[in-house]
Amino acid sequence: MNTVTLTEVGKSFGRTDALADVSLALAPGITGLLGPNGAGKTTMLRILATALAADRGTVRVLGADPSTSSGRTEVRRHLGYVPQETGFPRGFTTFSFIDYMAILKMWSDPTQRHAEVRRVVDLIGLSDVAPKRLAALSGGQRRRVVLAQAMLGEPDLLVLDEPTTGLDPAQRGRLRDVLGRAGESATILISTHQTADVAALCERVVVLDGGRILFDGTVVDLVRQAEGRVWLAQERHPAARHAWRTGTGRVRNVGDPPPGVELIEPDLEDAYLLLVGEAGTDSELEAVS
Amino acid sequence: MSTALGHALLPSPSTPVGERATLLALARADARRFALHPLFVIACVVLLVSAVADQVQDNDGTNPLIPTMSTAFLIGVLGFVVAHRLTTALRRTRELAGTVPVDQQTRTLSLCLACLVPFTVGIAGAVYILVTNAISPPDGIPPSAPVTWFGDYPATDVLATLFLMGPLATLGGPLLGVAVARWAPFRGSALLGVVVLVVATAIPVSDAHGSAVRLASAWPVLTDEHVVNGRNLSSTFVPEIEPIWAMGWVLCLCGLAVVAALLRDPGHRRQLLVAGGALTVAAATCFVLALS
Repeated sequence: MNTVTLTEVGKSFGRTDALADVSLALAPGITGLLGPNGAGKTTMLRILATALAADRGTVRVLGADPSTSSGRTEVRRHLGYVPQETGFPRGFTTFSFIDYMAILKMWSDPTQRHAEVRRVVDLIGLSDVAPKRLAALSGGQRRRVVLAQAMLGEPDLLVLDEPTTGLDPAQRGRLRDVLGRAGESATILISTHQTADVAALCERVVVLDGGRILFDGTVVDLVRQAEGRVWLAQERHPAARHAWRTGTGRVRNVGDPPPGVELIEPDLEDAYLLLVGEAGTDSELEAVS
Repeated sequence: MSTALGHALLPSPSTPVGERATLLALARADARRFALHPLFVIACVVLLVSAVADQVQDNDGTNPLIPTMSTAFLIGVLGFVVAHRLTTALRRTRELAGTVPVDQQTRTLSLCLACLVPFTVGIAGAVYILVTNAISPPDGIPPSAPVTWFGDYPATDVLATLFLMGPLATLGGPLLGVAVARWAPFRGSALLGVVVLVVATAIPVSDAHGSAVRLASAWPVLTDEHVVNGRNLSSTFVPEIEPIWAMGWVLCLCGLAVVAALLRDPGHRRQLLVAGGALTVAAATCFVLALS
């Protein structure tokens, strides 16, 4: 059963179409949202998080219509949101900030609220910095504070905009575990530039570019599109769309291989690069013609 | 997910909870933020020190309402800054704070309720003045000269003036801080507000202005000092201003500050406009009656 439905949703900033009549339906589980900078990922996430209103189309989140005041409130009661960037108010400790956010999420009973704050603080691994002032935390720790507040009350919808930015590998591993468990019942949409996170967490992936959906399907299907198009060689091949020297000293080429090369298994990043690169080429060809 | 994470079952936020309970929880948190704000703590400490010093020093004591000046400045003016800071604090987190179920109007009302913290300090200051002057009643020089205190003036006038110049200033300043922060949240508006407050207090109290201007001051001073050769001989109430109505005027202004702050956001607009209209009429009536 779909919990989020976007039907021909559009959003423009001046003459730029950030989202061009996008339709998408999400069910419980984890969906990864990939795309280059300016693809419209953050705009889509902000619309789902009720931080931004769509100009066109219909949005339904958990059965509510966020274009109305009551609908927005209803969505927000079930929402956990990690924006791409956020500042922090002065004077708060980690615990007091998450506690304050819990009040803003209508946890009015202090005993239950404090228990819930302690739970998410433990869950995200912030217990040791709970009494510390936010100003004294590192960038990664602050990012986890934002994640912790999003997990308050086990929301039915988690909208996460680049949640792993600034996290070290161990923290990313922990977060994957937490999100993997949450995704068993909640609908989670993760926007990221880290294809490894999407490959590790998501069954489904949506690729946006220029405000349009380029791909919507399983990670396996996207990776399959790159089969037979990745090879290793001693040098960069002219036919490769992307190529880089790996740690072994050999060059990984992604593109249309010449005959007789050593093909290897593609990964999600290869598939993504090919998809976005081809879309860019198509656009350029259209513009020339 | 609860089961998967194996923690105690907690009420989901989707469970309908009373808006009043949320408002009270938020107001408690905001009151704690107010009380623990460094500027407010410093103001309270300085006030306490000045109160103790006042007792230690031997002064004429012909105007027992003088200490309300330090209360009004330290708690009222600095309270304005604190309330402004608390109101604008979440602007840094607006992307997060804008996607929570508690709306901005409720948050503004909560901050207005938090202004009861400085008001409580103002009340405590007023009680302190009452107690210390009850123990050691003020005298004019000579002792027969009138002073703005019980015995020389009606008790209601003394209490109304004390309440107006002390506690109401400690409530009005912070409430104005919330309203200014809601309508002018830009950097520097707190400093600008303090300058306007001080100027709007200092100019009208000069003798060159009439009692109407004095009453319209940001901090109406309803007493006059009678100084001869640098010595304060006695203090009297300004005869043209009726203290009880003057108190009503300032009380209505406090209410208008709350309405103005709440009107910044959509919601309850009709009720707020009605309340604002009623308070404006009440304020105008009190102002006229105070001068008649």
